Amino acid sequence: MQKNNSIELKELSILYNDLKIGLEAVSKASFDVKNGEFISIVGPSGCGKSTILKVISDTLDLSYSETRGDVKVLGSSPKIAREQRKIGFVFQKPTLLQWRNLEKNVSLPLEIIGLNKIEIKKRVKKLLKMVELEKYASYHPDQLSGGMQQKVSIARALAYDPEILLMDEPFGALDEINRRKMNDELLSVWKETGKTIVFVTHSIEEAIYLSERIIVLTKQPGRIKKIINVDLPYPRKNELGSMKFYKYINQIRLLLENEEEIV
Amino acid sequence: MKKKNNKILSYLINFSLILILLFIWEQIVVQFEIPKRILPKPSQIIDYLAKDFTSGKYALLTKTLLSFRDALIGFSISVFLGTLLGIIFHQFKILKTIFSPFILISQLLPVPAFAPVVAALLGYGFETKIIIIVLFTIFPVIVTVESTISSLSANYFALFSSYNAKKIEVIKKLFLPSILPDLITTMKILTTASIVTSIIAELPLTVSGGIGKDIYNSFNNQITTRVWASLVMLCTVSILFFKSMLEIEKTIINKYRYAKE
Repeated sequence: MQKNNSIELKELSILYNDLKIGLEAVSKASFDVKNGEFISIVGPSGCGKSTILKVISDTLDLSYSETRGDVKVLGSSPKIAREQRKIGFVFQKPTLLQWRNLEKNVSLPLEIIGLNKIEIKKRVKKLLKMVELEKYASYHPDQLSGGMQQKVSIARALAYDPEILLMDEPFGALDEINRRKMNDELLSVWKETGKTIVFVTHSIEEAIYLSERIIVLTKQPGRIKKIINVDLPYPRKNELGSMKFYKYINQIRLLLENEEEIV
Repeated sequence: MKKKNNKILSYLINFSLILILLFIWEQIVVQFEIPKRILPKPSQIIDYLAKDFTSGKYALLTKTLLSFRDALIGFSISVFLGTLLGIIFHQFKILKTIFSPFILISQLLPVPAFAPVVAALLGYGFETKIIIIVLFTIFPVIVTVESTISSLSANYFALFSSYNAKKIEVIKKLFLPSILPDLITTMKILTTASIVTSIIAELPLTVSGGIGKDIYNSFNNQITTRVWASLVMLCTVSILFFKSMLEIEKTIINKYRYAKE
């Protein structure tokens, strides 16, 4: 069982100490993410969802915060996993380099790794094809819609073939229709690549539509309220209006609404 | 097409305006019988320049170009060194804290007052001239570079960190391209600043051959026409320098589609 886990969190607490009062962002969170699993984290804003991703990817600014507890990524520390480039990160904003065209944006991590040009070209072509943007290779980010930009950023995160994909509300800025479309495309990417995906969102529906399991966090400090198995067959397009889907929505909504009683 | 016509029209207006002003100037000097050592006629200035060119000596041109060359050297060092310092200051905030007051002070002192002090300390030669130009033009570069990097979203740093990128890669692929548009804006301002400093710095120094020194000498000998002719040359070179920076800016912004969000 141990070997099948991509990520293991044991009693992870995160404290912000820049305010001198030692604000606790996350409190004693423990969960495992299995290899190849699609897991979502939902919770009210400020519950530390994004901060957990930062800890897993070893990008948290430790001059303002400290962590307690144990985090293992692919059996080692997050730092080692980062140094071995095992983690791809997709931010809420596409975070593309505006002076580079799409092709060059996707090739950025590969250039840094130091791959040869022919190999880079081959990989970038494949990635752009996967996100259906091969026609736009020479376009610059400002010529694309927000959804397309986010697809580029996903392709870029996949470029160096990391084993884990961390996504921090990647479709939060999109309208409902585009978001659904992006969800479907993300699922097809997941199916094609078999990556482990940890997906942070504030949309309950999106979490149910996408993930195998959902971690529900409480308000600050974020504690794990419940981990829910979503027992719905993929693709879930047909499940959208179903009773079962609705029940999941209700269950999570109740968990989020009633949290005051428990805290 | 319309845009192009507008441009031509505005050039025509500019040109005619200058001609009209020159004509008025000429008439004023003639009507009020202003002596040449106070205000020469435009025709006399043009005459003076023409003579300088036709005589084959190109004295004024050579001197202007020499001052410009030194300005360009100082300017280039400022841009290069200032960028480097800006990046270093961003990396090591402590250095920024230590050195900022000194750099700021160097900006507060007027060049004519500060240049002789520097000269007394470092000698009266060519190197001092360049150092003075650099001292007076480097500050905006450092500030621009440092603040532009500091204002980059934390996500970019996280992104490069997740690639486990070396510092040099971050500088090459993130810092330098992001500072470019703002840096060019600063460089545009520094084109004229570097030329002005180059001219003023010549006064207390022994370096000869510059137009600054020539203006100073001509003025002392009451050859006012030569002063005016020198100013015309200087303006022309300054405008050309500035215009070429504008062209470089346009090319870069268009090629890399900066600021088109």
